[in-house]
Amino acid sequence: MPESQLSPLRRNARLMGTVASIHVYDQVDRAQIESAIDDALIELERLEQMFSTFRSTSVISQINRGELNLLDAPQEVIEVFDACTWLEHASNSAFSIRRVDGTIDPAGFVKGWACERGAARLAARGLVNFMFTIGGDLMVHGEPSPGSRWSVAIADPLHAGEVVRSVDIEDGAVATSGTSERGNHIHLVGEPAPNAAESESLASFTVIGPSLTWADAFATAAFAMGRKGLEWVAQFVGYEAIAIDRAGSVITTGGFAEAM
Amino acid sequence: MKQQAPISLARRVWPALAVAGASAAFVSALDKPTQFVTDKVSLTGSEDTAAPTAVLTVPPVDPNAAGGVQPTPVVTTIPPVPVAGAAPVPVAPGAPTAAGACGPAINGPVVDTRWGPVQVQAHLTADHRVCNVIALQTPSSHSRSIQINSYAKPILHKRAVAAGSAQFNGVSGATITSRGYAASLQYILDNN
Repeated sequence: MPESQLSPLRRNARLMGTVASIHVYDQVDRAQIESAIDDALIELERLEQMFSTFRSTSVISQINRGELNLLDAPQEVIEVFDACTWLEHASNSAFSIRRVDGTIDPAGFVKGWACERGAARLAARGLVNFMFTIGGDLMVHGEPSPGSRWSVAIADPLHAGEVVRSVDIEDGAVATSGTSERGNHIHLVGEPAPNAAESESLASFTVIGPSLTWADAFATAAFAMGRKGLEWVAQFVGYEAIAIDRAGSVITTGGFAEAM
Repeated sequence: MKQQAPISLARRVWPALAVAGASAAFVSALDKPTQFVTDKVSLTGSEDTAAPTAVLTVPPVDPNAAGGVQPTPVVTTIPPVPVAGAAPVPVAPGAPTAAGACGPAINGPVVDTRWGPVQVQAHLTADHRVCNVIALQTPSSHSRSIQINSYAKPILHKRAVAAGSAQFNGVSGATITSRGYAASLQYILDNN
């Protein structure tokens, strides 16, 4: 088979302060793929305009300036706020959409949620086999070639450009939270996690599961919990976690541990 | 020279784990316009009528772990194991044709991180998987060659793993900024 039929059609875009990339393996008309990707990227840009705290015109910025009541915000904003509120309770405030000053910052939630919506757009446009990533969080759908699974590497948080492990998945999501680049995620957390000190020992926290919205959200919250985050993630059906501590040890939830 | 060993788990074979619910849940999330919050009335209509209905569903909690019951310990730590002598990479860079064969080396850009310059090199297969990784420059010092071995295939893998060369289509990591992206293996996957 010529390489052109094995290699996916790929597209990158700068989004949400990072880079989104889409790899489509479908053997269909290129224009159809490009059009579907356009559609997904337009949707993501729309969501960024709505949610970015870096854009003064965003809905979130309007709410934070007191110009718009949350209850009058678009449906998506209320949906995200509701989900974040649930997550705050479920994580015992390890995650919070509220900053210390009372303003809201959904950045810790929106990236995964938006990426999942982008992937849903591709599926809605008839694409079957694709990978959709934004800044290290990704969703896969279908298969990269007939009969094969997606293999996703987990970046080594201690050594740039290296990986610690790869996992094979079917349709689903992989999200990683960590300190390997932009400091920690504590700036996303309104209140200090009760056990924040423990998180010092973790370098990254990866969650694998069916939904990127929740894999990303759980990774963010669990990383702030430290090692206790493993048990916390394990209570959610369908989700597993792999954490890497600062000594390079790999710590996993039971679904992985059983296998070792 | 100390060798960190992310490949130390090579050759361990993990049994396949059933995850039948995962793909079903994903498909259902794509198809079903489920409202996330059911005990709260939607207060306003969407201002964007073109947008598809929201599809958030809360993942189910294992009833055995709920209700304040202390969850069973589920955490396993695998200490890093040094690999003696930095096993040479037995892949064949440049070997053409077969979809799984490792192609020639591709260098990523040199990226200045706050710890120092980072540059990665990777080999890709014809079917676009990374099959070998070399950190040409790392802030911590020396260059190291890492073969991507077949670790366990945790979730959901029923087929035997091809010996010796697990390959991957994508990378998950806390690579948040554009700059970090440029130093990542995902960059090489995206641009070559």
